[in-house]
Amino acid sequence: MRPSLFTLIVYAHESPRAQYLVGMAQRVMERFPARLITIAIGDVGSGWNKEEKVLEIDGGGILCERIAFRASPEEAERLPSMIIPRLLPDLPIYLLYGADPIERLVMIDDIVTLSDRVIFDSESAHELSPFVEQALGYHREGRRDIADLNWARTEGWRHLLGEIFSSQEDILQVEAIDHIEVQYNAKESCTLNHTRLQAFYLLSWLRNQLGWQPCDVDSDAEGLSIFYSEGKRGRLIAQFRPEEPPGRIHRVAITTQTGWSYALVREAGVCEQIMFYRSAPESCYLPHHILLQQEENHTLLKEIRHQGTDVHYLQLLHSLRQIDEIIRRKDGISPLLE
Amino acid sequence: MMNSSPFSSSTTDHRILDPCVMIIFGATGDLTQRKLLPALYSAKKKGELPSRFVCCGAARREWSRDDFIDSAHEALSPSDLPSWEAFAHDLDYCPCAFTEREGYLALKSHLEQIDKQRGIGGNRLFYLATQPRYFSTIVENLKQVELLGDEKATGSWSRVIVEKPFGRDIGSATQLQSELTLSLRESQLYRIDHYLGKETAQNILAFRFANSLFENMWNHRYVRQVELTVAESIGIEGRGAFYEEQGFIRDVLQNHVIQLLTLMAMEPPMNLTAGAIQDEKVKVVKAIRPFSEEMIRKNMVRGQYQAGYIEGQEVMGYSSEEGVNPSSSVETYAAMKMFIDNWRWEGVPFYLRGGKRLPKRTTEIAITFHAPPPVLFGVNKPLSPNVLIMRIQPNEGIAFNIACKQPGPGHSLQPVKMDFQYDAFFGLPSPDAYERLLCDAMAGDKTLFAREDEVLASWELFTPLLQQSGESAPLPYSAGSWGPEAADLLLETGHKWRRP
Repeated sequence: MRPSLFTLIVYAHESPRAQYLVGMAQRVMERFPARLITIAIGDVGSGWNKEEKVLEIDGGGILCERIAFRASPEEAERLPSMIIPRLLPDLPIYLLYGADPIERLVMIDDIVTLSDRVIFDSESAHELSPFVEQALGYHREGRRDIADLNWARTEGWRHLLGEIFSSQEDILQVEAIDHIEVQYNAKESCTLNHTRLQAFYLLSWLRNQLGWQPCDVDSDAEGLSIFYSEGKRGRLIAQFRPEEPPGRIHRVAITTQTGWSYALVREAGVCEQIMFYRSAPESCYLPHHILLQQEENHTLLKEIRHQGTDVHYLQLLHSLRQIDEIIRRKDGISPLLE
Repeated sequence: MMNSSPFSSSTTDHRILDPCVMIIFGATGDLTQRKLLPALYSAKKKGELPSRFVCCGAARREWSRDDFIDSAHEALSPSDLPSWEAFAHDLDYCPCAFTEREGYLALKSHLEQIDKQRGIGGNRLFYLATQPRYFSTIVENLKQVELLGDEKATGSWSRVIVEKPFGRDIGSATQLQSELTLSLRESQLYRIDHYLGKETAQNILAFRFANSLFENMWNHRYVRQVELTVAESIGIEGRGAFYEEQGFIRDVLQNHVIQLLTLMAMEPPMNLTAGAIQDEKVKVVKAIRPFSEEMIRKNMVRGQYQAGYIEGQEVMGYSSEEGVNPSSSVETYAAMKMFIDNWRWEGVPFYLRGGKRLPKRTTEIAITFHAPPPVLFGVNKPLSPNVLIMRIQPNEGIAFNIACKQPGPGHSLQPVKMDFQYDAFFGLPSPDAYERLLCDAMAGDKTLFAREDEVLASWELFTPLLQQSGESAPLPYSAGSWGPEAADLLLETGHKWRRP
């Protein structure tokens, strides 16, 4: 037995996305000694196998142990009998749930039951409301911690917005906010198709914190508009930037009824550097750089270190359901997860 | 005149054992092939056997010496030719039907011949690797042909090792004891429980009493719960007929688990002699709260495995196994909560559990300590308690879970484990339990063998439980799971079963 801090299980259906998630997990291993167990569900009739190996880092040295299981859906019920004996006793178990929980196989429930923290990959979901129901269900049933990769990716932006609206002067403007705009990269890839989900998470978090209630949605060539009570409005704008990662947020703009405006714009080519613009009706402040917390390559790492379930994330899940229902009632609006 | 060899060193643990012949009754059986011969072979290679030693098989089969040597070769698959040849030289065989006097007379003659040829001098160690129903018969016949003599009168010793189960209940155990002691003295009788021969079981005393740190916390003020787990992933391995007579409680809980529990819970002995240690162990058994009817109902769960998966392979349920009655109510799993009513352990629940076809093979003792007051840490989220784990098998060692602060701002805690592993540290695999026990028996050391009062006290405790629990059907559990869910109901509020 190698000294380890936890067991990390990555569960996904065989796909490029699954490879991407395993890559994320290996980056976690570079920081923390742990045992990595990967579960890949293959096609019907593909049988099952198990492979145990020690991963090494460049230049020698042992990274971690990796135990890889692969099974077809009809053979998957064998897997818990092989996984359970290999879980490290007395140490936390983190499950990266890289599949749609609605399509879950019965055996994964055994693994969820044992997990201390389930980190969802909402990108893998096919429909939002059922995903939300299942995520909340897991949280309620076992009182276990839940998290979400897309939610984790918005952490830097949330911290930044918290810092910006921390002075008395800016706090006074919060109640007057009436328009929020989030621009994101609509470029898709083989590992990510739901490009507006991250932007939507950020917008929903903002409106939750402001107490806005959604009333209606509309879409146009540029993006999606969400209308809230008392005339408030949110907007998701899609832009195509082939040189940047898919789904990345690159602009957040907030305006108030009192004429103040705030804009956070990611510098092209310098992903963690944000240019901050702030202006009042009678003055304009010098724009300056702020650093965004690292997103790429550190999302899972951050979620591993967090404890508990973020209350804001739970609130977000409830609000996702609301919006999803409004969208469903409208004709001509494609679902958030199209 | 010298009274002892000037060449024996007082600075090593090496023992010089008396020359002897070890006679294995049931030598053609499974125990001999799987455990006894490998243990003797390993001891031979390490130089731990007496310089003049013979292992003589005795069984009903009309084998020759060469037949026995061939079967040993097959069992051991030796790769080291010189060691094997030296060991084979010490093997012999004499057919002996257990119920026929002629066989014992032939055996006696055979042994006398071995004494002359090898200069052994009449020391005998009889190992009864047979079904318990033959114990009395064999011992009585040995006595009658004068193979069980008085050491003071003859100048040579004779000892008998018996395997568990030592009876089926208090009545049969008492009767067996009476029958055996008609032919031999308690000092000649060695009741083997191979768990006591494990290095890790022996290390319990060293850990407790050679380190000042733990003994002060080894009581009800600091210990919240104690959990003993004996889990096996294998099934009954074709021994349906045997298991139908035993069940898990008789096969494991009543003996192996109680032995571990006594070592863990006992008071410090006066010294490390067999008698002093066994005295303290017996006190523990006698202090265990007897099982009333209500206690058995509330504090015990019996289970029987159904079909499932073990390590990805489909396995059948117990009732489908060969030799098992399809409507059998024998348990293959048991979980229970007990209390030791003495000053040290008052109010501390001892959770015992184990069974067949569980997810993995593991035997361990886990001691959970009370969590600190949630004043500094644990205000918003309960703290994970400190747990001391003694892994008896496999991955023999000791682990201790503590909470550590995560690097960075704030006071978030992460459970971490301090872990000691025997083979990693000492660079050698632990000797097999039988190896140690057989040599101890040759040395006349009974420390690691069960004493009469210990065994009978354990049967006093378990007999009512066996009688009452046998009236209800065991609960089903899937092979590959940790047992019936009803086992969770035994636990006190806030306690949970550890996942080994």
